Amino acid sequence: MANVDSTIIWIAIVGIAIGTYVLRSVFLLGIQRLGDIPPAISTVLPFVPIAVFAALITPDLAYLDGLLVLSPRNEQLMAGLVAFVVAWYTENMLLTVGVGMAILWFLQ
Amino acid sequence: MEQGDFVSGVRDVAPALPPNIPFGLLFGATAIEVGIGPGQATAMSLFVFAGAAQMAAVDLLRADAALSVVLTTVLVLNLRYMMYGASLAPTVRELPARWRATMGYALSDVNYALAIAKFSDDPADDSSANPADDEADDPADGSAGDRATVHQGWYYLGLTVPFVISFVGATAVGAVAGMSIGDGLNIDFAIPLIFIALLAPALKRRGPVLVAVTSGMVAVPAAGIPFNLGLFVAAGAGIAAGTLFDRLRTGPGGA
Repeated sequence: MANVDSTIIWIAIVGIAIGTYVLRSVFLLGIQRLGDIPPAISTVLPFVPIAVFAALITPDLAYLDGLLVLSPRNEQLMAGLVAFVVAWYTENMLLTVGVGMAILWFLQ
Repeated sequence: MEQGDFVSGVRDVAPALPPNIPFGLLFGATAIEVGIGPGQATAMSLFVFAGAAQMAAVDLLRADAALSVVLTTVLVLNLRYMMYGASLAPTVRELPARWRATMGYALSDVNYALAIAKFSDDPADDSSANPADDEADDPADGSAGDRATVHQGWYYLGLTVPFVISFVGATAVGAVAGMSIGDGLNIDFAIPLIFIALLAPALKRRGPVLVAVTSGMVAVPAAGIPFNLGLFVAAGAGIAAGTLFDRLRTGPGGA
């Protein structure tokens, strides 16, 4: 597997931790006044996780070892499609991951 | 009384703990698979405490994304915590700053939802929920008088501490277990599966479906853009499509 440089990981962790704490506490600490959130952010916000997750998922499923494979030969794609159906109907994370992994193992 | 408020927080958060544990286990195991150390994975859960964003960070780190891309993605995903803070702020204005600074740590979906429900409650009907099983907690001040207001800080800590302990503990266990799982099982495939589990339930209306389909389709060809910047191109396209859809539907001509 890809071995990420340990220092880079620590820098990422510290940066993410500080940035996330600032986001959580600016309003609680009164550093930022209420009503200062730009309306553009609050209307777009519900779309953000949907767009980011979708953009993370499809390349993970569609590429096999760096090659685009959009056919039933791509086990990841097949397992991902079934997992999507399971998630849509059951809204159960554990079941979704379990079914997806089981199908991947079965097809390999 | 403060202990009682802590305990009632713990009691309120208890039902949310079991679903949180598998998430922590999977985060720990996948982080190891990608080459992140068990100490690093555990530290990340402890200091970031945002499962989905942590998973996104792991996904990007394994794809050798630029550090700035990792940071931006995670912070954009965590923008909603800023909204939670803004929503909670007026209800806790009376608390000392050190309490409010503590509340900023680990503010997330579950403790926000429970805290805002409690704090914006009409104080009059506050303790009516379960007075019967309060045996040992506060026998002295059982009268309605000074139970009218909970100590918000202690109640919030009661909501948060068990949640953090279970998630961080599960991460550590998952990471240690991940070290003994071989590469052959492709545990890192759990990363997109978790994103699928988070995404699919949100796709029950046309707007969100449009956002996801646009973003997901653009992301495949955009994956060739260096440093994973294609992620922003794709997510931006999805968000733009959703905003446009909203505007057309609710715009002046629509209604």
